[in-house]
Amino acid sequence: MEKAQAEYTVLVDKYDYLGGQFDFNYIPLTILFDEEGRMVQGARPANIHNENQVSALEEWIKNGENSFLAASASESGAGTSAMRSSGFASPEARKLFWQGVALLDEDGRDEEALPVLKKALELDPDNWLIRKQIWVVEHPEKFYEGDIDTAWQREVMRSKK
Amino acid sequence: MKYLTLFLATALAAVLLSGCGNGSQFESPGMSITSFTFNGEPVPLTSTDYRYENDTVYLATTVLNQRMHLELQELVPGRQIGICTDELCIPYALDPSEENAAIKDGEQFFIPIIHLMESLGSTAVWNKESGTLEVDYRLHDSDSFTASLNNGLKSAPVSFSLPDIDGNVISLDDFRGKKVAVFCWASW
Repeated sequence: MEKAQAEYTVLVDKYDYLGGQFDFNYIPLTILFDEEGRMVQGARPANIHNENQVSALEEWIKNGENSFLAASASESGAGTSAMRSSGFASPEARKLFWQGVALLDEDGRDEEALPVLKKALELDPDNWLIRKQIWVVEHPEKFYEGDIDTAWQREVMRSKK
Repeated sequence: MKYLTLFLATALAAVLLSGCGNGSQFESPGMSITSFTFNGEPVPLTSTDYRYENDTVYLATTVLNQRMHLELQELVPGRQIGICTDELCIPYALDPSEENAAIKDGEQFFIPIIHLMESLGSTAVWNKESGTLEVDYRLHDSDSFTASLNNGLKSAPVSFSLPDIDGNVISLDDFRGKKVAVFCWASW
């Protein structure tokens, strides 16, 4: 968070509470709420470098429920997302993921965590939280040395097809 | 950083234990829960349902399971347990030197209730002077929550609470009257 130099309120969702409540298994994403605390748009992919996304967001800030974003969300369902799926594919995948996270939480147990996380991913292959957690343990240099290497991530996924 | 971090854009927002006398090493003589309410309803507790240690109230996992359908799971044998909903688990160390560790007393486990509720986006309030414990446990029912999402702008207000980096609990309710964009991101 210090590296990001965030200027806004930053909360720590250590236990993936929001992932469970809003049914997402990938990040980065945005969720929008109106002045009454009602969800305007559910979990959707977020790219701050995408001018169209940024423009739509700015228009929503200005025009609220009269904005194009709010209108399109209302038509398709506020919670609709092309990549949306329920948190974990199975209770076993969830259990293994949290066992892996518990091991990662302890110093020096990353090597024990990896097979557990990989087993979770076998059971839940579309879960990007599990997949990225494995990647960051096995290849920290692709995430923490300079910018996140998204080209590498795409290449890895291409090679799996 | 191995954890998910929630990035809440506020600028856009236009967000007792009555254990006296039974001899347990974890009880503080004189401290008791005189009143326990769960989502506004009074719930009787026996002396085996809770512990009080170092100004912290712990509820037994059996109570958590009965009232909140929270499941106890062994995450790391002998070292960590998890208190789990259908979608997530909150891990608790069994080493008493760890912060927010669980208590193991025989075959029973006790969880620091305020920490657990805050981790689940809910609240627990302990009044030491009056001995009252109030738990407000909010967990969205997945099916009805999904239905409310698909009702678009007419969906019911949503609420959740999470700590900031300094441990201060921040609620979406704190931003009522403003638009809120929540960005969910991680170091990876």
